[in-house]
Amino acid sequence: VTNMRLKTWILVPMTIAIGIGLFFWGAFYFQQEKEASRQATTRLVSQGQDYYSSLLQQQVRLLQAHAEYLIRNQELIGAWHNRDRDALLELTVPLASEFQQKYKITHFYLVEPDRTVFLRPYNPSRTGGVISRQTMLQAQASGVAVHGLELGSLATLTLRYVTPWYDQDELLGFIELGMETEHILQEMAKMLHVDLISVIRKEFIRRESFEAGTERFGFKGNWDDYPDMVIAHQTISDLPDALHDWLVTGHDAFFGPNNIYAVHRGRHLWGGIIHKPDIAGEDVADLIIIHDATAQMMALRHSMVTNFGVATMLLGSLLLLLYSVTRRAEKSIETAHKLLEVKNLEMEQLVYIVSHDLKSPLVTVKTFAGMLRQDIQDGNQQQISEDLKYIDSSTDKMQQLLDALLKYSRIGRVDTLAQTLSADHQVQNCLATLAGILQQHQVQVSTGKLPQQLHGDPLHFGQIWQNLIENAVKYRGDQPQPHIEIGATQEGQDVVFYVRDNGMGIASEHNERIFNLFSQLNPGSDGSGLGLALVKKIVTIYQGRIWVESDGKSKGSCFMFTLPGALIKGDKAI
Amino acid sequence: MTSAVTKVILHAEDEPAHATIIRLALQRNVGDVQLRQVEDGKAALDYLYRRGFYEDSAVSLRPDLILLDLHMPRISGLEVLSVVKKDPELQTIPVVVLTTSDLIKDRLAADTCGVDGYLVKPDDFDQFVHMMSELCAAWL
Repeated sequence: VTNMRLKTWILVPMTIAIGIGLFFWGAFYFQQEKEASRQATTRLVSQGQDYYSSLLQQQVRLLQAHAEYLIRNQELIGAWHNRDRDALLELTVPLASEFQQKYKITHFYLVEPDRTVFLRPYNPSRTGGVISRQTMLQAQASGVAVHGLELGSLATLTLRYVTPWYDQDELLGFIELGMETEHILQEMAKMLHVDLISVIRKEFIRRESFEAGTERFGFKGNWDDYPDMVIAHQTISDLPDALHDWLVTGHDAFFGPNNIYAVHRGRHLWGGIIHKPDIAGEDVADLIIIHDATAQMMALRHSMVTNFGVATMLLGSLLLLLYSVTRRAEKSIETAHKLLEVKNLEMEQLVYIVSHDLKSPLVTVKTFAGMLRQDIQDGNQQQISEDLKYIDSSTDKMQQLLDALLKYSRIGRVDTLAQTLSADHQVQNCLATLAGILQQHQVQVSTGKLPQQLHGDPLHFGQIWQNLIENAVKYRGDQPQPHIEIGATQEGQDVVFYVRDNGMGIASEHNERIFNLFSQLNPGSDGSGLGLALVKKIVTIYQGRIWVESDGKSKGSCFMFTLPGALIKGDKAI
Repeated sequence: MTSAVTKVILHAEDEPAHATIIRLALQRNVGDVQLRQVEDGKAALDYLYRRGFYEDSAVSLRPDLILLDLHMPRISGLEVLSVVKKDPELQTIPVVVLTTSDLIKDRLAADTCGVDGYLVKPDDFDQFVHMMSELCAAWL
């Protein structure tokens, strides 16, 4: 039997393809989601940039409003004209404290036209000093108000607003207001739900300034932490390693569009950069936005696991379905294949029979018919009857062969006629049918226990035993006390039925041949040569086999057969 | 043993009618031939080895030609053929198969066993006669 291996040819490539497909789909899906997360971070960073600018602008307008109020204040102008320190203090100190408390405006200077500080209302005890910051220089040069961020002497980024102070066209001096920008960062972090790290580029400040600033404002970083950068503020308690590396080696990458992605202590973090140029346009400081995407990534992972599970289940059931379909197909192919083999064998036998057994009497008839014609011409009466005798016996033989062939070919599985009867019942029926012959030849029959229930066409089972018993009677030889024993034994998994006689026996070289159509071992014996072929065909229908055991000539023979396809469950064993 | 003039043909054929036809066909045309007919392969071997019924070597003359039907009870023509062609004593005797079958399968089997000729039985007596005379002309 050829093994079709449909299952292997269909299921193995399917499984591999599905596995690869699932893997790539998963990888693709994960990359998609990660890319989406990165883009979300990019948006967040640009949003942060805008927000930062607008917050800064807001503060600039605040400073501008207060500065303009001051330069239009006639009392202040009057006191300034006289450089009346007491009057100026009386006017400005309450304002300075109000600025500080309400608006976080921490710097307030009244400055001479030559940029010498006349009064610091937020710190009146300190006097003198010349301001040479960019904002002041630009205001002096241009004669209009100037504002911008500047790194201060304490390494803080201060927003300053400097306006020239005129009375009519006379330049009285300058008023400068300033504020630290740290609180803007706090507000941003709160609004955007992100962590922020504020770094200063070392090239723009001195170590002493930073250390003084640390004392005053409590900077988080140490000067020696990183080669080019130093951390001023951070709202996150510890930095991801990836960010450390970034700060140590690759900080140039900060200034590209790059985001960094890092998993730190079970948190999935995205990082992005906001630049903070000072008034001169130098990137003196940067703001690193750290976006915690843990919840997002967890949700992604969760949905991936769910999707993967569902996909696996669906594809698994598809494979199972395919498996059962292919298995069924394989089985039916195998059954068809077996049937085809049986049919082929039968066909071959038929061709053989036609070419030998059927042609043989035809040759006789035609030849003797020709001779008959001649003999009639010659008037040879004796020869005529001789010719006719041959023709008659040959046509009889043909008739017999054709009948036998038809009988043989009609045997097939007819499920509509199926019944369940005990083997014992079948054998008893046969013995009743054959009672005449058995008695005529004085054959003794003994039957063993046959409790098996057989399901199938009762005529089939009847023909098995009938043919075997007839065979035993026919080939009893010169046995004076012919005896037939009918029974069943258990051999391993199989129930083996047997019909044993003490007749002529069979030489072992014929054991196979006797089951072929029209093969008679003995010349001159009557019968069609069909019996055993018929039995074999029936047994084959019930997936059984038949064979003969004999100790040789005159030692009797034992025909044995199995009928696994007919046995009712539970009767497979005795 | 064999007569210098009279040739012996051993013919194994289970079908009595065919045996008759062959006998008549030989009688019609070929003169000096002794035909020995046996009913199957078993009998043919018994004859060749002078066993049982054919013990008498004066009667069971060594044949000059063996004619075999293929499909016979007990021992088939093919079996006889292969025994004869394996026996150094007998293998020189020409063996011709004379059968109803023109199946390639049978021809090949006979060829494999070393047959000297393969003839399919015609269905006309005159053709039988013709075939026998040709056969004797070729092999005797």
